[in-house]
Amino acid sequence: MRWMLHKLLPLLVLSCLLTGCWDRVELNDRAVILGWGMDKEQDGQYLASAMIFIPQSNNNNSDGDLASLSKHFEVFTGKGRSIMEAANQIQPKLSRTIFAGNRRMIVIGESMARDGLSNILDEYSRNKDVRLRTDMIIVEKGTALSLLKMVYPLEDSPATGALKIHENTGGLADKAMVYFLQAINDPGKSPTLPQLSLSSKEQSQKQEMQMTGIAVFDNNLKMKYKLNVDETHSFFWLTKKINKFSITVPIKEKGVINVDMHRLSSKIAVKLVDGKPQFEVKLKGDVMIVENETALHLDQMEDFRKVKEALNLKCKTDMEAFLHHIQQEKTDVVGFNGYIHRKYPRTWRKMEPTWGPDFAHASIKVQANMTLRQIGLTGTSIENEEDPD
Amino acid sequence: MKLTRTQMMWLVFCINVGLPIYLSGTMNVTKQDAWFSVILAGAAGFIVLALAVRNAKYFPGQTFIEFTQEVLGKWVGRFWVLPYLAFWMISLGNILRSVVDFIIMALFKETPLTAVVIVLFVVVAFAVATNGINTIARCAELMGPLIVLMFLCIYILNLSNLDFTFLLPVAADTSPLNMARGTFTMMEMYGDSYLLVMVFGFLNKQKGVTPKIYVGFTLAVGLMVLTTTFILLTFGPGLAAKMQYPLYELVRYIEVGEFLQRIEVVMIALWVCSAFIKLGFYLFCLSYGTAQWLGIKKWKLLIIPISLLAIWAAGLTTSLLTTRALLLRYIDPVILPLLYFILPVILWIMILLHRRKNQKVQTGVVPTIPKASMGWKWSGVTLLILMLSMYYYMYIRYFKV
Repeated sequence: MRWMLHKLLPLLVLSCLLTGCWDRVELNDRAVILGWGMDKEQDGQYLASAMIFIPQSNNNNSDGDLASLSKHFEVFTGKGRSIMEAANQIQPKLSRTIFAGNRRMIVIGESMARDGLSNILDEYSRNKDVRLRTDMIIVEKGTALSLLKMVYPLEDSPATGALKIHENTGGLADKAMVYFLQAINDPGKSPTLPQLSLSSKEQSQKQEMQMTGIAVFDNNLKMKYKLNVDETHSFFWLTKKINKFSITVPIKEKGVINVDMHRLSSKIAVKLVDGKPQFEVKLKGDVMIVENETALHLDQMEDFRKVKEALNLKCKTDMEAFLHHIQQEKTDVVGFNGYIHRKYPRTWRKMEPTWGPDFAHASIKVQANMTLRQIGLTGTSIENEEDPD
Repeated sequence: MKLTRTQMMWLVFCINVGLPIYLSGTMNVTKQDAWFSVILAGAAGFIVLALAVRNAKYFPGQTFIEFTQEVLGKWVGRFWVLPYLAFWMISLGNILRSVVDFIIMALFKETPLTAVVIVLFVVVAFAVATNGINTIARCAELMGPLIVLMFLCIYILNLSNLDFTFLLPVAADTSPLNMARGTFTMMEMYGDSYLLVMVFGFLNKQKGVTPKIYVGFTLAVGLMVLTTTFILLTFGPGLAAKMQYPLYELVRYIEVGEFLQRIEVVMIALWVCSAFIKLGFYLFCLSYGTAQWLGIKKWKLLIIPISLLAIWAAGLTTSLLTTRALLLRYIDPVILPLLYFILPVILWIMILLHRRKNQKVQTGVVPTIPKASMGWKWSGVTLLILMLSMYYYMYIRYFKV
């Protein structure tokens, strides 16, 4: 008896106390959200859509039938005058408790983005289930609901599809939200989010999605304008988020050359001249020629130099066009303010309040110095060999 | 109860490695230079620790309660330790609450706070009741290396997320005043070192223990500096300052490939272990100290009332952040420097004078005075005083903030 009391009783009591099963929710009772969409309707109401995983055995669908694949997911929506009201409309439609811990993708309709994101961001950073590693995208001229509802053939869900498209075009997709929050917390820098657009394929109901650029927000988190694909490339190059892409280089009176650029690097230097910042952007990278549509003989020094000059010019003008655009809009998406802040912290304190307009007048010089590493397997273009030009 | 020197080292490490919630307050003020405030706070903590060692090392086998009475006389000594006991009681409630807040945030959403508090504290009280400081110190010896390992893993796995521009410009945006404010926010964390005066007497060998204590402390501060730096480098000062638990977010952010992610549960487990050691250490110091103060031989009897007080105190505060605001405004600027710096310095001078006087009479041997027994009715008075001090604290909490 004594033994029981001294050894067994504490054991029993502690085993009751230490299990901690109060909050357990069985997997069978969870509705796992994989993607989340926010839209603003015409009538001013908000529409929240949740893409929820439908658990079922995978065995029957191993043939990759699209119709059955899409059944893994279901999109539920809620409507309301405020964002929380809309989100709260979803739970009553579900037999299981919402679990947002696996949410990897937040999709936002363009109308919502133009209306402002400050309301919705709070929940996304306060909710303790939600992780910071989340991708956020804007649907250009469309709704988040339409993206979540579409059938994407390559991946198991359109949310995953959009995430991977983002990954392929702009590097670190799951850090989109962190980058966004960091830009918000950096006064002077304008936050950005990637943009996708949906387009209908001809002769069928199916839709396609495509990366179309970057949406730029102002300091009130309202979407202001968008950067196109070329500008996006320049933007990623300058912020070191991408290290390879392909461009087409026009060569004076000769045609075009297609090149792959990789190992891209950029350097921004700043100096103050009469209290005004002057930036110098240096671009570097390795270039591989993949297609030569001109009659240039790439194995000859003179033509080789011509190509190189054209290439540098193209990189430079592209970058300048991008910089000109963001300067016109008075949005410093790259974070030029950070370069002044780091080098001239004392001067920056005076410049900080008026950085938006000041940025528009800052002088930025671009230098491109690309290295032609490979000209491909043939020296001269085969089909143009007999061309008299 | 005997402590080895290694146990002492890990004990110091575990109580100082701390609950990294204090970081966001510092980052709000000092931005990208927060790591330097942590170093400064560590230096301040080092002074507190050195004072604790200076105070206690001349009295082997004696605790704070005993040697103050010997040095300052019976009654002055008694009143000398009273504010310490009251403040430790408040701190115990606060630490308990912050630990439970974290556990609830991370793991349990619908469990009532009281349930988690009671469950956690029953375990702590059980550990203290079995073998006192020995249980706690052995736990520290066991868990300390694992905690170091955990921190190293966090650093290594996070290497790919770092952006070194976040640390720049160094020391340009922070004025000395702001740096001092940021440091002050951190300092509360390292005030705990002074509790060593309660357990220093239990060492089996005093020789060579001081360097080991300093090593333990430096290790804890070093890890905290690295952690702060990593948080800044990963999230940037602006975003990190808005996080309530930046270290937790840092661990959640780890993702290596597609397979190594969501390792925060491991971190929570080790974190609760370090909290357990800290709580146990406080509980032991309080119950043993109060028992000695009252002259009660069976100190374990006091574990239950003190545990109840702590559980009650933990339930009182509404939220951690509001408590922090209060601490910053009233307790940190006045009570901390007084209890952990000014009084210890005075005590140290008194000890030196006392030793000089005694050495003239008899050579080096410190006489022990018989303990006065104050009996059971005094225990009620003590608990009343402790409760009153906490009432006062709550009064400030609810009506003045």
